[in-house]
Amino acid sequence: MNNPHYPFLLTIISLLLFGIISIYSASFSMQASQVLMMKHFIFIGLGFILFTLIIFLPRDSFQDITSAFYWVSISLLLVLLVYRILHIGNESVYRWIQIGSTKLFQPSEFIKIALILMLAKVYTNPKKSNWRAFFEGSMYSVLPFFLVMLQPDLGSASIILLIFLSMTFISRLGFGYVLLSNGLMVLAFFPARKYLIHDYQIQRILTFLNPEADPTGEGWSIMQALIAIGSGGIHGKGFLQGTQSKMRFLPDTQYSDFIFSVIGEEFGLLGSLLLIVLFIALLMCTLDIFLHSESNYLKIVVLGVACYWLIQFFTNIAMNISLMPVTGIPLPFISYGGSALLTNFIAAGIVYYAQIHRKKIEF
Amino acid sequence: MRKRSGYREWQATNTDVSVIKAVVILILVFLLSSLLVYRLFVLQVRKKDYYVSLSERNYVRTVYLDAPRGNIYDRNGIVLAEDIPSFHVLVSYQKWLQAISIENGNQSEKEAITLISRIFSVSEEVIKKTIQDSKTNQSDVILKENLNETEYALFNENAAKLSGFYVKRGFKRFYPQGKTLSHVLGYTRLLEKEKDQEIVNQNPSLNFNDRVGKQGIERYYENLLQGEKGTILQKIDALGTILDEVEKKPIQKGNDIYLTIDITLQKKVESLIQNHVSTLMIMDCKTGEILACANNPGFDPNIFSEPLSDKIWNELSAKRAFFNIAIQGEYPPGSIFKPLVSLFGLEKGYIKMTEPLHCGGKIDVEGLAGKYRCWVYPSQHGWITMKEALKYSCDIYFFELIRKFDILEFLDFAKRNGGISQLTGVDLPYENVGELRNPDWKKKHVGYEWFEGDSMNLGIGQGYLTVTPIQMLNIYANIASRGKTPIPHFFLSTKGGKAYAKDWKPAEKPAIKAQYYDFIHDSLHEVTQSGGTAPLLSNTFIPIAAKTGTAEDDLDETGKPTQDLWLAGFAPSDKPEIAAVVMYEKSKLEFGGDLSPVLKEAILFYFQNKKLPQE
Repeated sequence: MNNPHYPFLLTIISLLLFGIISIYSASFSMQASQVLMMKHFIFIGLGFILFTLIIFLPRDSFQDITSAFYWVSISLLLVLLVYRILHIGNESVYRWIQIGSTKLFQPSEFIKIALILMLAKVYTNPKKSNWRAFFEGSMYSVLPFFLVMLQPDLGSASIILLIFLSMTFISRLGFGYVLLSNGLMVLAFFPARKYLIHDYQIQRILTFLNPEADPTGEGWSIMQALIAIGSGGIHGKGFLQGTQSKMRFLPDTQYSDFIFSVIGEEFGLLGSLLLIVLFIALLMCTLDIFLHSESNYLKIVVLGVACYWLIQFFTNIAMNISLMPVTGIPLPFISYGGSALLTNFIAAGIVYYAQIHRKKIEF
Repeated sequence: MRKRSGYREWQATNTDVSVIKAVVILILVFLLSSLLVYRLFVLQVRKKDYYVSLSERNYVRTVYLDAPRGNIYDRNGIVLAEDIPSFHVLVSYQKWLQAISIENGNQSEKEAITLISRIFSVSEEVIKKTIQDSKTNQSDVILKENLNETEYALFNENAAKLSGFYVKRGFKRFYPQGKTLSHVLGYTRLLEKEKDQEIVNQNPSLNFNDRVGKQGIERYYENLLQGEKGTILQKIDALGTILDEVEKKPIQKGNDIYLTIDITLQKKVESLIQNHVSTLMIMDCKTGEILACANNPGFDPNIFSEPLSDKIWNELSAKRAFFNIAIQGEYPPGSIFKPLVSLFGLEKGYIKMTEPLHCGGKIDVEGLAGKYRCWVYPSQHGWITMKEALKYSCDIYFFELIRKFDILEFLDFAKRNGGISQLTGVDLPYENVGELRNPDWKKKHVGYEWFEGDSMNLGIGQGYLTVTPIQMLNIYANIASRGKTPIPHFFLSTKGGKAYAKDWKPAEKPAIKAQYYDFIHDSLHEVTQSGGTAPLLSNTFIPIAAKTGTAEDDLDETGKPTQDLWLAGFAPSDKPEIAAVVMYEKSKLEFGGDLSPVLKEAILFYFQNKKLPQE
């Protein structure tokens, strides 16, 4: 294989290992532990296959499949809308494509990467003026944003907006258009609030601001996560020794959204720092690949993926340590969850694709 | 053109400036990471101890184990009150909330409450209120005590559907003698924060799930009887499953208490007065030990082991079943007050033992002609001595006698020597003092000067004077023991971890010469002889000394005057051992002497059974 980038691959493998260990610990006291681990390994395997398929795509073929990927993801989100309208599954939220009670996958994860590709395509199209590109980019972003809001999933919808802003910033449009987008969002917020934002979402934000007010409900999760991480101290309580996770004080999603609480409790500050360092390494590798990318299209895609990882990584840990409200955002490569894991493998594949097709070194 | 210029612009910016954008993102990466690291440092280093303690509090739970209350026995070791193992059902708000929460729970709030209501026959409002109590107190709260077998079995069958409720081992207070001695024993109930503040102050470890004494001995000796809870440290998970436990402090049972009461005598005495609103007490006049204390009407303290319905409570309250006449009832003493007047007159030299006074059947005072009559009016006693005056209960003699007194000096004597308007200090809660008014009080509250008639009323135990039966018992015991009777009490001894001793020494009082006591003994023995007011007490194998009293009480509902009947005395009259008082409130009988059969049977029963080996 041309132009290998070992630090990038090594970082991803380290993160995956970290994730496997953490999920093993987080699910240790659960009945479904074995099934969970098995599924996680299967998803990692599937992820590697996807990764390999992507990096071996022929040169310049990437832009061709972008539209297909985007519209398939949008269609899946539309399927969820149909689910919701027909009340299939009798759930209060519609985030999973499911058959019966078996949850297959979450389209809202795939749309994130599909949107990055789509925006990169639009923004780097030299035939489109800045205004035209901005208008189209906004439309491509607003569509999945609304579909995800309707599930409802404020967290993922916010990520979609952040991806849009990031892509706008790193493209030729630049910071001016980011400001413009912010202005438009503020204007759109007030009429939309009534139809899109649910009371419990407002409640979540209020609870985040004052967790003591609701020590048994949402505040309970926040408090227990803080207790887990804080009581871990510098060295942590040790692998499988976390009382918060083993005695099930943490929320049920301790193997996915709240995995960082398990890490903080059992591996302490040192373990948390190691994780953060690994993420910084991943992002720096990605930026390194960006610098040497061949085309503007690939450059923007790679930088977009970096932003996507940064956003997911920051919001997840920040939620665990009460810097941000609780949202269902998983920790990339660490959290359990097939759709998110596959999405991250696709993202990694795209970045590595850019690495393989890097600029020829000119002497 | 436009497109091309845009493209050129983009060409220029995108290759070079995008590197700057990458740098911006790199800076963001480090800024955000620093923010996370700083926050982690605060949580995991600076506030570590705080979170460690919170985490321990999460999974280490201190469980308090109820300790049994001490038993209460009579003087011969017969059980009067005991704690027997029992099961209570409690509510845990935290578990309840988990069970019914939308995200994790699968229990229907409504169904669970309906089911609980059916199993335990507790109304749904009470259940909801108890759940709220558990929330506000942040602690588990008893829903129902002392489950019966059906309730217990039904609950266990349905426990899976009733998460948030659980059954706990505890104790039930049981009074095997039922209604007997109810006023003395009192009862226990679950602690009420507002009403039982005093108990909580002394024993802060108690909470609203604990039974405390509310009345009687149970209340008075609460600190002795209350056991000390054991503690267990439990390691639990978030669902409350116990993973491990260590005993930290063993349970300590409360002290057992032995009372001075002889339950056989008590039952006999209660049977004697059961058809009247009345009291009858017998006391050892040398030791101050109360051997029997009967009150009618009474109640069965076992009713407090069940949730007490308002209906039953109101019914019992309406007939004053919880009212301890012996120590709380306040009545005019009537003629049984006369011996105290006699002792004062003799000791202070106002009269000699042999000096006669004249009874003309009535007496005229300051324009109130004929109001002060002897009870034999229109007959009269003529010239009579104190002994005869006591024997026949002549009123004129005592009117004349008290007219001689310095009334303030007499009031002081009645208070200090007789204990009138003073607490006897008996070891039961909520004792009343009665009243004894003086001239100052009358002027202030009635508006008139004290006049001779007021003093004369006191001479026959009426007027501005009321007493409790136990005060009169104390006076007669002291007459019998020549002033040496200790404070009347029920406490005999205790067994258990806590030490308790009391010498029951009464307050210092003015001495009275023994010859005057002997003279009163003789005179009161005369009362029981032929011609006296209580001749039915004569010719017994134990000579009895006694005094009858018939006092006017308030009008009844129909407006007729009522009488409180008294009979107080001691036996044997020559070498007194016990004192006894019987009192019928607002009785239909004619006069105090009518109580003779009751007092006689009680006293003779005591002496008959005393011969059996018991002391």
